[in-house]
Amino acid sequence: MKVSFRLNGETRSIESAPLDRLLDVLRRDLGLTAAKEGCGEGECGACSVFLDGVLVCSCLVPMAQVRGRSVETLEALTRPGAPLHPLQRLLIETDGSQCGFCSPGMIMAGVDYMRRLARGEVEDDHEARLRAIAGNICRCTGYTKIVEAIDRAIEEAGP
Amino acid sequence: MSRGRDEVEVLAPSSLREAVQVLAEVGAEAIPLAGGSDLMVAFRDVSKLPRGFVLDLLGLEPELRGIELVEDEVQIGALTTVDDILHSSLLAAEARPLVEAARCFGSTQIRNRATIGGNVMNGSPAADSLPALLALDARVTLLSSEGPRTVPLYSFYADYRRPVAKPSELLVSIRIARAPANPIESFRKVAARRAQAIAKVILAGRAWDVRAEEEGVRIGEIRLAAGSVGPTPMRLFETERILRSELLGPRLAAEAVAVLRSEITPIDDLRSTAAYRRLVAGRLLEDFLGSLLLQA
Ligand SMILES: Cc1cc2nc3c(=O)[nH]c(=O)nc-3n(C[C@H](O)[C@H](O)[C@H](O)COP(=O)(O)OP(=O)(O)OC[C@H]3O[C@@H](n4cnc5c(N)ncnc54)[C@H](O)[C@@H]3O)c2cc1C
Ligand code: FES
Ligand code: FES
Repeated sequence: MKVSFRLNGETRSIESAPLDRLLDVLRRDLGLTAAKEGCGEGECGACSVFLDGVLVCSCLVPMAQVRGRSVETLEALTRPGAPLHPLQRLLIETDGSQCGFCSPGMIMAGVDYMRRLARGEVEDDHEARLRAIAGNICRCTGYTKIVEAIDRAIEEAGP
Repeated sequence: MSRGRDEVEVLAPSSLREAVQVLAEVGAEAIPLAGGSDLMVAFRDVSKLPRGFVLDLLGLEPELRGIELVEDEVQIGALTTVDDILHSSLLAAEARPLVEAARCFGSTQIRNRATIGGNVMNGSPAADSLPALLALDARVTLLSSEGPRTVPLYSFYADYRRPVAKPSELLVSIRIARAPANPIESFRKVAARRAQAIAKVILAGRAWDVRAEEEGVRIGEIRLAAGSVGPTPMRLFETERILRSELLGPRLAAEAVAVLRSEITPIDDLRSTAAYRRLVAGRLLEDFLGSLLLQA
């Protein structure tokens, strides 16, 4: 089937099977490899993207449900050559990114939290930050440094 | 040979009428798809793909997503997401155990897609919403081209993950009782971690018309339900009956815990053991009864 949707602000139209996973289309057909496949079952969050502004696991989204909607991936937040996204830079500074496999998903979850914080939808405390990344698994860092990076990104962004 | 995922067609009706019409025609050949958080995982195994179609329900969101008061009940549309439930001020006032269930459900990513209808229809005994819904006297409304019917949730599961809905029926909404005056409520999930974990034991309860008398506490009405302790989520009718029979004190509490432990039918599996589940389910009830004694 032909699927038309917005991808990082541009209209795209591609041929795909209706049950193709958004994750595969991004990585295989569109060359956007920030979203990663860890588990393929919604557990690890490495494949996180925004669908109509809402954080989802792209491994669980069939293309049939992407039609006419808007997808935002990490590639929209940072471009080669441009300065790093603050959360990207802070993950490096805090050693919150070690092997780096979880980092794209962690950044998306962190950005989601910061956006919801700005809209007043979530609490501004440590517990809420832990909850925000509860769907993202990291095998390397032990999470403390990742939360520290999110804390500092919020501090830098100011009120 | 099984079909590959590429070969499955997805139909996307844009109204409920059209959807039930399609089901009337293709019935058992079609699988309804809501948020996909169970199905997209299941479809990794090609033998789980439908022989006919996938019926994408998300085009029915205008009709089936939302939470509203209807007479003296709260109606939750089947496509309402777990995140919608978590942020509903109506449910915060009327159905606290359900909001608590939403809070410990999956992760942000999962809550954003998972629907309450999918949780009910998937019918896992470990599903978080189900003990809460049972404790809130939930009834589910099914619709086929022949019309609607309503079934109490406590009789909705014939067996392990076998809702009594027919392939020609869609789940359209769930209705729960509004909060009575001064309810005492609880939802407790015990699992390996606080987020993104399947329950070892769940206990949900609502009691009202609870009064302190000289010799103990009189429980006027009580609903109790448990998850992960049998083939289906369970309303605990026997335990409720004992608790209404006499004044609540240490003796009745101990008796109720014993009844609960014999009423449930847990098994050993990869997440826990039957013995642990019996022990913990009893402790969760003790906790809830303790809060009744304190708050009466
Ligand atoms: C990583 C992960 C974490 C999870 N965590 C939890 C958790 O903490 N607690 C929990 O309870 N569950 C959890 N789940 C399971 C799942 O998210 C829930 O069962 C969810 O509510 C399913 O809803 P859905 O909309 O995604 O359903 P789908 O996957 O779209 O459908 C599920 C089933 O219901 C049927 N169906 C859906 N809607 C209808 C309808 N309106 N009428 C008829 N049939 C219908 C489908 O045909 C299918 O059989 C988790 C799943 C994943 C992948
Ligand atoms: S790959 Fe999607 S959640 Fe792990
Ligand atoms: S940095 Fe390696 S998984 Fe998180």
